[in-house]
Amino acid sequence: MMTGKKRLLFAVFSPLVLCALILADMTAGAADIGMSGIIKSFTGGDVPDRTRTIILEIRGVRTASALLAGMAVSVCGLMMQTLFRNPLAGPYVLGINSGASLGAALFVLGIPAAWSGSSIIAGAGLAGAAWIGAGTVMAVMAIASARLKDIMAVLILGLMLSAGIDAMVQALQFFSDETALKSYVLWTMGTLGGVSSGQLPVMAAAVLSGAVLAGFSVKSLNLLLLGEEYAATMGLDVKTARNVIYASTVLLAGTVTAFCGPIGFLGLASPHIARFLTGTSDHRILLPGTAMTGAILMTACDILSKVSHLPVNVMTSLLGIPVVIWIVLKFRQ
Amino acid sequence: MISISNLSAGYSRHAPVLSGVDAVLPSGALIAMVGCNGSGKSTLLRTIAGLLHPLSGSVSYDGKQVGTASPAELARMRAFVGTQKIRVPGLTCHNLVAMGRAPYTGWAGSLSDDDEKAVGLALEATGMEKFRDRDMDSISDGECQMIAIARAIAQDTPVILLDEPTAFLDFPNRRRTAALLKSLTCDNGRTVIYSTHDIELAAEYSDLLLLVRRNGIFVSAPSSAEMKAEISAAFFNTGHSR
Repeated sequence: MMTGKKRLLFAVFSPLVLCALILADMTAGAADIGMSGIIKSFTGGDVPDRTRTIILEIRGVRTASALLAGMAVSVCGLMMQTLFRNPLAGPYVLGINSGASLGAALFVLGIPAAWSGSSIIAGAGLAGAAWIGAGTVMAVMAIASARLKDIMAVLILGLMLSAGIDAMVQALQFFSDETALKSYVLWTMGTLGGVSSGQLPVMAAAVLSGAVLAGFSVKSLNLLLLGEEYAATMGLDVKTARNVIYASTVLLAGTVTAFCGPIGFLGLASPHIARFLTGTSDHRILLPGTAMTGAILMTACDILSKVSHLPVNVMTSLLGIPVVIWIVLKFRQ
Repeated sequence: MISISNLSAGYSRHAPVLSGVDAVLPSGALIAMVGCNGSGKSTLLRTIAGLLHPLSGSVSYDGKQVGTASPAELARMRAFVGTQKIRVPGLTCHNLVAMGRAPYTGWAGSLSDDDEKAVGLALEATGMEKFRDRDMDSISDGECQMIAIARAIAQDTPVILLDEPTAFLDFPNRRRTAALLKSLTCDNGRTVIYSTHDIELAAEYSDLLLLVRRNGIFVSAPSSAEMKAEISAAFFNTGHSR
C-alpha cells in the first residue's frame, strides 16, 4: 500500500478506534453502566450520584491514566530508540524504569510515614522520587553511551544496571515492614486503578510537560536518526538536544512508573507498530503516531485487564513480547 | 579560503596524530586528501570540519575560526559526508536530502518553498530525482552515496568535506562521484575536500592533492614533479620525504 494512503487511513481510523476503546473502557467494570449513563455523567444529565461518582471519580480517572500512561511510555520508547539508534531500546531495556522503581521503593519502603500521609503529598513525593531515580539512571546511561561506541555494550550495561537496582530494591523490601511491602508489591504489578482523582492532575501535568518537550524535539530526533556526529554537522547542538530528550523521558517514564508501576514492553512495541502503520521514520508524523498507538494499546490492555482481573502489566507484556520477536526476526533478515 | 595554522590534531595531547600543520587551501578547488592508512587523513578532515577540536593551532574559513563558531554557524559554513552508510527504514531519499536544510528551517524542520527548491536542485545535481520517494534501506551503496552527497549540496555551504566518498564503490560509481565533486567546484564555486585511497582518480579529477604524512602535509597540483616525488616517498618508501 502507498505510504501516503497508509498514513491517511491511520489518521482517519486511529482516533475512531481510540474513541471506541475509551467508551468500551468506561463501560467495562463491575457496575453495569450503559453508554447513556456515561454521557449523562459527563454532561451533567440526570443520573444517580453513585453512577456519576463511578464514572467521574473512578472509571474516568482510570481511563485518563491509561491514555496518559500509554502515550508517555510509547513516546519515551521512541525517543530512546532514536537517540540510541537501537530498535530494542526503551525505558525498560535501558534501566530507566528500574531507576524510577528504586526512587519509588526508597520513598514507599524507606519513608512509609510520608507515603501514608495525604494523597497529594504522597503523590507528589512518589512522583518526585521516581523522577530522581529515573533521571539518575538516565544520566548514568547517557554518560556511558557517550563513551561506549558499541551499542551492545550500552544495552548490556543497561541490563546490568537494572539488575543491580533490582537487587537494591529487593534489599529494601527485605528490611521493610509488612504494610509498606504490600503497598510496594502492588505498585510493581502495575495498576491504572491506583491513580486517584487528586493525583491525576499531577500525573497529567508532568506527562504533558514531557510530551511538550518531546514535541519540541522532533527536528532534533529526525537529525539524530543519522547519528550524533551527522546531526552536529547540520547545526544541532547535540548536548542541548540530548538534555531536552533526557528531561522529557524522565518526565514521561518516571511519572508513569511512579503512579502506575513499571509498564513493561509497551514503550518498546508501540513505536514499531506506529512505524509500520504510518510507514515513516519522520518524527513529525511518527511521534504523534506513536503517542496515538500507545494510547490505543494501553486502553485496550486496560479493558483486557478489567475483563480478566489480571494486572495491566500482564497484558502489556503479552502484547509486547510478540512484537519484540517480530523485530528480532525482521532484523535477522 | 581555508587557513590551517600551526595545527596539532588528534585524540590526546600526549600523542597527537598530526602536529605543526600549516596550509592555505584556495576557494573553489577540488582537493583530494591522500595518504597511507593511519596517516591522519580522517583526523585532519574531521578537525577541519570542526568535529574534532584542535589540540593546538587553528582552522579558519575566510577568517572565521572553526573553534569559535557555534554548531548553527558551522552548519552554514561547511557540510560533511562521513563514511557511515545511512540505512534508516522508513526514511525516504527526499527526507534525508531535506535534512540538509536543517540550518535554515524552524523548530519542527518544516520546509519552505525555497527549501523544497534547494532539495529538488540537489537531487537533480546528483541525478537522483527518480529516487526521491525510495526508502534509504532499499537502494544500492552507490545510490546511497549520491543521496548523502545530495544532502550536503542541499545544505548550501561554501565548503563540502567528504570522508572517503568513493570507498566501497565500483569503478563507474567512483568516477561518477569524482565527476560530481568536480562539477560542484566548477558550477557553484564550492571548495570540496575529500579523503581517498584512489590516487589515480584523485590525480585525474582534483585541482590539488593534499598528501597527509606523519611528518606533516604537502599540498600541490597532482601533476607537479614535487608531488609525484612525495607520493612515491610516502607510498613506496622511495626517494626523500620532507
